[in-house]
Amino acid sequence: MNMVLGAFAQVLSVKMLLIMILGSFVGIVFGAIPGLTYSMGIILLLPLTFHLPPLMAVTLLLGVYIGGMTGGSVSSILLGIPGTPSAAATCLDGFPLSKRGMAGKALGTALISSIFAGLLSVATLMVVAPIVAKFALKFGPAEIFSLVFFGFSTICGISMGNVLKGLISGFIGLLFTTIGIDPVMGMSRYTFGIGQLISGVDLLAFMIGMFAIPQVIKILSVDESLLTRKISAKVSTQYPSLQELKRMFGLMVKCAFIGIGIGAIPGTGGPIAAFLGYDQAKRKTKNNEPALEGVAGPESANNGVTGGALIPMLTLGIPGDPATAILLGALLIHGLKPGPMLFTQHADFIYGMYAALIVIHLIVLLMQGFGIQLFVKVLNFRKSYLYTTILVLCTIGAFAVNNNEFDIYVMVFAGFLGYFLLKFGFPVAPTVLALVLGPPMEENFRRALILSQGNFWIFLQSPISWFFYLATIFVLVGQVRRSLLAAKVRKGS
Amino acid sequence: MKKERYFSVLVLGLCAFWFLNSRSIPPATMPGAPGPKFFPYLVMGCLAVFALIQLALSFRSPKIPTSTPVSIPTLSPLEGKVEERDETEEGQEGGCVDPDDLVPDRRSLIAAFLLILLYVVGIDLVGFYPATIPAVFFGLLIAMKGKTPWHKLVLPTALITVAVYGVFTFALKVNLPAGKLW
Amino acid sequence: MKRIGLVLWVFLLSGLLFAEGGKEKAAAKQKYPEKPIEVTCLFGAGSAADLIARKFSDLASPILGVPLPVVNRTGGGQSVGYTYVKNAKPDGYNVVWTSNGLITAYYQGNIDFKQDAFRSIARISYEPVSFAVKYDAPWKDINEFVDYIKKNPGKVRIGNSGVGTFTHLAAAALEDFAQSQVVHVPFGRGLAFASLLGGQIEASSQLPSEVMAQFEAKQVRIIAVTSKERVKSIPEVPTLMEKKIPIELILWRGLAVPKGTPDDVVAVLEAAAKKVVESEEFKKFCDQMSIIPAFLPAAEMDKFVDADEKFTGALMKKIGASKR
Repeated sequence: MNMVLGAFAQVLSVKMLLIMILGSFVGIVFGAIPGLTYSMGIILLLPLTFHLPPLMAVTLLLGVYIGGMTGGSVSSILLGIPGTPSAAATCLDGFPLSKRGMAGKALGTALISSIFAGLLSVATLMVVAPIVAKFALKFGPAEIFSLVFFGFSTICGISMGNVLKGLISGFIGLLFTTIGIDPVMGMSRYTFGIGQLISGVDLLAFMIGMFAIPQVIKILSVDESLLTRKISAKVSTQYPSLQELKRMFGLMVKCAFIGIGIGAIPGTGGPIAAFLGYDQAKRKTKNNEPALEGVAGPESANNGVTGGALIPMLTLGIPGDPATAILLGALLIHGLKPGPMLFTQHADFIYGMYAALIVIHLIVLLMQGFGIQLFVKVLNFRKSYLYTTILVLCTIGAFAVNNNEFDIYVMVFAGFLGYFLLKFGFPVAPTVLALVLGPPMEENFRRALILSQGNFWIFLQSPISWFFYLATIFVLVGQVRRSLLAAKVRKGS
Repeated sequence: MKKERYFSVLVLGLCAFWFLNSRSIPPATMPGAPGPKFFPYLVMGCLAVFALIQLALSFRSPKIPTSTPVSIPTLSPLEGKVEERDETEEGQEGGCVDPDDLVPDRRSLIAAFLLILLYVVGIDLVGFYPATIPAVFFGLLIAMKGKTPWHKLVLPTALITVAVYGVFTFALKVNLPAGKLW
Repeated sequence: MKRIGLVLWVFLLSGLLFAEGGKEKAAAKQKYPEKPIEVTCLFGAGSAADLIARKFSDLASPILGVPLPVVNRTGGGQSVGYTYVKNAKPDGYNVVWTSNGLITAYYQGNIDFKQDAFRSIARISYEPVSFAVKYDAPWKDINEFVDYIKKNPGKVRIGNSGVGTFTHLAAAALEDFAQSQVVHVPFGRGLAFASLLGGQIEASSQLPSEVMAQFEAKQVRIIAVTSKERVKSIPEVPTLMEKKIPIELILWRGLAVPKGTPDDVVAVLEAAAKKVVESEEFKKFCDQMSIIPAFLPAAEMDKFVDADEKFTGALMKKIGASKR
């Protein structure tokens, strides 16, 4: 108990508070601006951390991580462009909601789901980290494959009723994931003679392009004067009511745990959890109308990932997702080695970190909470100015991921592709989902077979795999039933 | 319906293109595991099947009469079907007019495409800021569609550029493309 | 009148931006270094390569008087980063962290150029490859493990950090010595030991910094390292040579610039590198990360890399990992 109090005392010092505020602020900003991600924020602040004592260094970066994961929902909801890949699923219902004037409610729901799930994940981290870590280790390539395969099946859930079109979009996306060096053997595929394609198509650039560019084109090409209708401030900034929140509570808890689980499994991360969370939300509402649940689900899931990813990072030194990989590096630079030793030899650091995590969530809640009033004003800008600026921001974002000019071309290509997909009536989200899930699917599938040396039974060997395959069948059956029912209803009316 | 038909054909074309490019991929060298060609072939195969199904379906005449006489193709990024919007309700309550419900003007559309393309090429060739300034200017020009005189757009262009510079280059020290020509 | 004013204003602004750029170019002709030196790292943020790069930049920056931002140019089996620096102006403002990876990437066919496209600044460090097994594994030392491999051809699985990487090479060399087939399972980003702990592979071939935490926590045992001498941070681990296995492999890291960079620029960088490697802080950092500081000046480094290219190339051809 003393330890815990000591930790809080440590964390509530002026310096620490300033650091947490700085980190959270950078995180929220980077998360909220389309094109910039929290990983970038972490990398930018990394040099600052060299000269800070370990706890402050890690706290700063954690602030960015959590702020970023939470802030990603802002641009997803207001602009329909995911602020970070983990927020891609939040666009699906978030953006339509904001177009209908419910931006405030959507943002509020996203924020509360995020913080709630984040705190839940920290609690899990504190209490059962070693157990979760051990369980996560049971996920070998075959099991991860089954998980990702299941994730892919949720494509049906986000195709808005037209499974076939969703599958087509999704598989087009899969086709693009085959570009580049084959993940297992290192052989070049489909580079069409373009050197820069050797590392494949960058997910972030592609995603930014696909979501943002069609909108930019649209705004630039329609009559501006018809767009400038001011939003009644009162409606937009309404927060979600207590009743609405209570309704979504169970969903938030469920999705938080989905996030925690996925975060804990090395090799998977935010976007997968977010899409699964979205699928859960849609399952709950049982219709295809945009609803607050559709925001609560993905946002709980992606913030659940933050605590979850810290579990294998701290207990085993295995990063659960790319951002934690950098955090891990920061720890190593300060001479702190993850593993059971960290918990025994540096207990004060660990407890300090837990306390910091909790306080960071509260800071983010306050910052973003007050920020909502401000953010919503963005919707009042003249669309032409806004979207032109967005075009510029997206090119910066696409470039800044890898400092590679080629990625900007990728963004534009994805944008044009997205525009045509939409023009022809095909959904764009499955394509992005495919880019997220394609590589781990192929990688783990083949790695599993290498391990088993060609024996296909490896895929059915573990109860974990069985669970996910059965879940997939369940999902597909339900999906088909739903679309048949919908067709029947349409016929009847 | 026609557009689905065209698209399915395009998709089949994509599969064929991909297939032709597969020939240069070497076979597997690891024992037991499928080689680098396995996954692409699988994806191509499934995609082709789906496209064929879509093609077949597109010949079927729609049995369900649509309630609205005009279906405006929507550009909401995530919905894949044609939406029937009831404009009266939402417009009043504080939602904004959905840009997706408006039909684009052909010339501006082409201009928008060209602008984006040229902007990106420009960034590559002359660097970020030299390309961004004209891009923003012309972007605004296209968006305003002659309703605002061009000299009034100079100030917003400058402001946007300065703001971007201030935030990214000055404050965050983000690396921006330098341009290949110098 | 107002219009013209506004237009002039915009042109003035753009003019200023252009002037900025021009000023930088003019300044470059004066004393080196005058502006930040961009350091390209070929691996992602948080990786061993990235961490050493950042630590180095942190220590070298006050010596050189300019920042040395680390830019991660990943992908393409290291080709993206190498290609970028190779094509950069040889004015000393673009440096790349290189390693044996340059050679393995060439022989793998990821890049079409070799070390002669670059000029060495200095060698900075060594890292051996370590072979690790689960703590409760039945093999007490590397010889027992090799015997096991001999008795079970095609059944033993060794994880590495990717096809054609140095850790793969080390495992392949072991396989070659045992004359018995081993299944090489490629992982990325240090994930190999997750599978080791999960029991899906028998051993992993990784850089010590990637398994150090588990080693200290007694979850894995490191049964051998591939260096000539024992590693300071794990003094109880024998080398392969000690155990009569004639394999000696070491991962080296160094700094390089594009070919054609002038001598005086190279000299400045080389001197700074020497200071950093010999500093107490860097040594402490290396000890923590199981890295061996190993400074070698520019001229000798060029020869070293040439020799290593022949050696590594031959090794890769021998074990069938080369595509050339």
